[in-house]
Amino acid sequence: VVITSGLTTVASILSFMTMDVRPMQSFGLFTAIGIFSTLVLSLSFVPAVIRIADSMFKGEVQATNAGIELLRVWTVSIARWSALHRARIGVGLLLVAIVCAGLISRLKTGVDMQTFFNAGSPPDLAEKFMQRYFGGSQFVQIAVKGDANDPHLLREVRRIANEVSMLPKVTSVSHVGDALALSNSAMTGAQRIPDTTEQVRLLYSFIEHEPAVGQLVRPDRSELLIHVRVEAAVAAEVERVVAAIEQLLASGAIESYRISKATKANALRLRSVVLTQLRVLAQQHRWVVPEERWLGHVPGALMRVPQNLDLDALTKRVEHFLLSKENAVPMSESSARSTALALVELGEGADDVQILDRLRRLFPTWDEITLEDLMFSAVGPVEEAWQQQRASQHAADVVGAMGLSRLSDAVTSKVEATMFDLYSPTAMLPSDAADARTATYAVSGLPVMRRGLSRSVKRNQLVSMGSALLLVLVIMSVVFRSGLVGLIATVPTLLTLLVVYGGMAVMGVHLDIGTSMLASLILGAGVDYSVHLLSAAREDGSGDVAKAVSRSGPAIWINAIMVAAGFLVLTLGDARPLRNVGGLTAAAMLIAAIATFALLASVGPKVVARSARRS
Amino acid sequence: MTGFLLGAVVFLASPAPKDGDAVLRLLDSVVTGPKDQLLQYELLTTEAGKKDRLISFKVFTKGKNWRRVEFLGPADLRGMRTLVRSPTQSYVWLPAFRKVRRLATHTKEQGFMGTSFSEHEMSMTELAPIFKAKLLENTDKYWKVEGVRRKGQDVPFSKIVLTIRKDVKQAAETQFYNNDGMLVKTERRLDYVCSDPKHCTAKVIEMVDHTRNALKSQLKLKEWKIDVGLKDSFFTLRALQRGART
Repeated sequence: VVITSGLTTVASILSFMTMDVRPMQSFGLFTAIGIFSTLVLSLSFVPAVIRIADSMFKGEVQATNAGIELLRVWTVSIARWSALHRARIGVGLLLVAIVCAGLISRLKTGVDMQTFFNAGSPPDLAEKFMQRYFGGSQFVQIAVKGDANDPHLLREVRRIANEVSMLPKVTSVSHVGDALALSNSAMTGAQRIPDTTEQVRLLYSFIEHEPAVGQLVRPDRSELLIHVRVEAAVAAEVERVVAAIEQLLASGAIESYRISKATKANALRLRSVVLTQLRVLAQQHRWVVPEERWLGHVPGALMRVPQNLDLDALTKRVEHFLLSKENAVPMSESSARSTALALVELGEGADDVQILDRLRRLFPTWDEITLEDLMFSAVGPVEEAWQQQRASQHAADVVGAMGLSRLSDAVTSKVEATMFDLYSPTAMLPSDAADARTATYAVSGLPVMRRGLSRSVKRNQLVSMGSALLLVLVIMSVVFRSGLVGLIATVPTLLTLLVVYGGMAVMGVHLDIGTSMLASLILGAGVDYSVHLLSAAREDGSGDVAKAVSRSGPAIWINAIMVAAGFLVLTLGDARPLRNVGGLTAAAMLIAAIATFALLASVGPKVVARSARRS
Repeated sequence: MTGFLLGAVVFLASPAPKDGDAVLRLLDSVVTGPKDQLLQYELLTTEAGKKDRLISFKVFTKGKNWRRVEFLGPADLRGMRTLVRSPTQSYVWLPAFRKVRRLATHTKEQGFMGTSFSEHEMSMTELAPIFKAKLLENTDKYWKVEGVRRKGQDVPFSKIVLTIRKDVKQAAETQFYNNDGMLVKTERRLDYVCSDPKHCTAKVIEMVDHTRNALKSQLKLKEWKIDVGLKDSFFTLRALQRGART
């Protein structure tokens, strides 16, 4: 009995080795070694102790026997009653098994706060606090491999981030493009990703030492991260967000691209990117824009780039710069006005030579160095002023197309900055060419790891339970020299497993890394009761239920109660997974004992006796 | 050679300062002694868990306030130039944007390009007008001086403690304390070299920022010239954007 019990338990626990979670494999291996060592001690050390105890405490052992006698009588009467009503009990237990099997399909998997801690516990309260005030504590990351110095890739990353930010349960999205845009606004006044790689590289050198930026891009700028904050605490909701992000990347992210100049495809691509940005702005500022406007009016307005710019406003912009301290040549108001008018008159795209020539005519008495200084100072800001004026008028048209009234200055400047992207001379277009630039996207983060763990748990549950069952069946069949006896011996434990997993589904206990251990634990420990009962029946050989139960009953009960008590201790802690494992294993031990008497007591001894006679 | 030795005798024999303020004034007069200077540095920043960062640049100074810095590397920074005309007038030339930007005053408190140096320490060319000093120790080799911020001075350090070498009359170590009296930075100047008895400079300057996980930056002197005759026009905005030389 002891050897069989020990070996079946070792075999069940060893089934953890089939799992693909390392800690579980280690747990299985070392627990099996521990149980095997206990088995060896039980066969060598314990008999010696019993012998000494028998000779030393005869009286007390006698007293204990009276209690055991009572347990024996009670168990025999249950077994007799079960044998008498075997048909009804059989049907009843079959129904229980069918109902529980049905419930198992509702068993939830997934790891989240609820599976770890109780409502009202400090971690639960912290999670609720994070959700209420900071938009949640769950983060999903999108790892992007590519050239993070490339402004086109940075804009694609921003487009993806924008689309992700519109998904339900997503509260915020951050990426390095935001930090670069902010830095760019300090340099140029427009909060946008700059146009050239040189500009991006220079801006990085101002911000990359910031710890927050270090979390968004690698120092060699070969990889960057998009951080997505999710307000959902329940694993299923977070998994839905992860799936939506994966779907979005699969359907829309450009992984192989070329930089294209001035084509119709460019214009469409830039319009689509800007449209997404506007939708995000609308969501952030809760603008109510009917869908027909998004589909018709707004794209139309985006394509109509203003040609007739307000030259008065443009002149004022240039004048403002000329009077600022950033102009290397200090000017009077009248000089600044006449210079601004002259520079605007030259039109957009005037080069250094044209500007210098115009300034020479405007200020014939100025020396050449001062004129060159002025040209050098003004050329960049004048070019910017043209773009700003265009963006400003274009933004006003687009806001009108959205059906919105006047916006605040801060919001208007955001819309204007968005318009700048429309005028980019180049765009990123998909390409299959061999020399195409590449970018790869991978969703990662704790929720993805948890999802992987959850999938592993499901798979491991089936594999480990299957292998444990097979090993136990083989050992039982060999020990009792009958495949049928081996099969019968495992039936009470199988029923116990169905009841426990059905109960988990009813109570909302998730199948997680902790509860996935239950099957092997229950199988290993629960089958011991069958071993006790069937061994007693084999020794007796008469097939008498009462005799077999009388011999094994007290041992089974004491075993079940002691194992249950041991596991119940785990329910005293705060960690929910341990409480679940402790409570459910304890319950399973008692259910397994009852199932052994109810199911096995009526048929087991007779089958064993028959098989013994045959062999 | 004779002139050098004579100068050394006169310099070293100058009357010893009697109190902390006099020591600081002596230090200031030595540091701002040259009419102008050209210094080329390599600035190495080491931070736990991060790759070392190296920035190389040339510094041109004239008088007490004028300073122009030209960045030579890394590639991202090459061509960038900064100009300080006064404590409130700082500009940067951004080659990639082809424009000059005026720097806001608050950026002085931020670490210079992620290093442990900030514009605040770098712009404190004279200490005596900023700190009221007390002589703590006077040995054969050092003066130890505690400087407490004077009223109305706009620096984030309530106190500094300097160890000043008597041979070169310059700081060997400076400790910076914040408004709560906590030691926030320590600067060490090592390996002084002298071009003549009056003019010495440290070949290595180390700054440790105790508030940022002991972030350490080290300036290594690569080139040093004094009184090279830098023109005033070199320190103008237009020269900054033209990149004109001396």
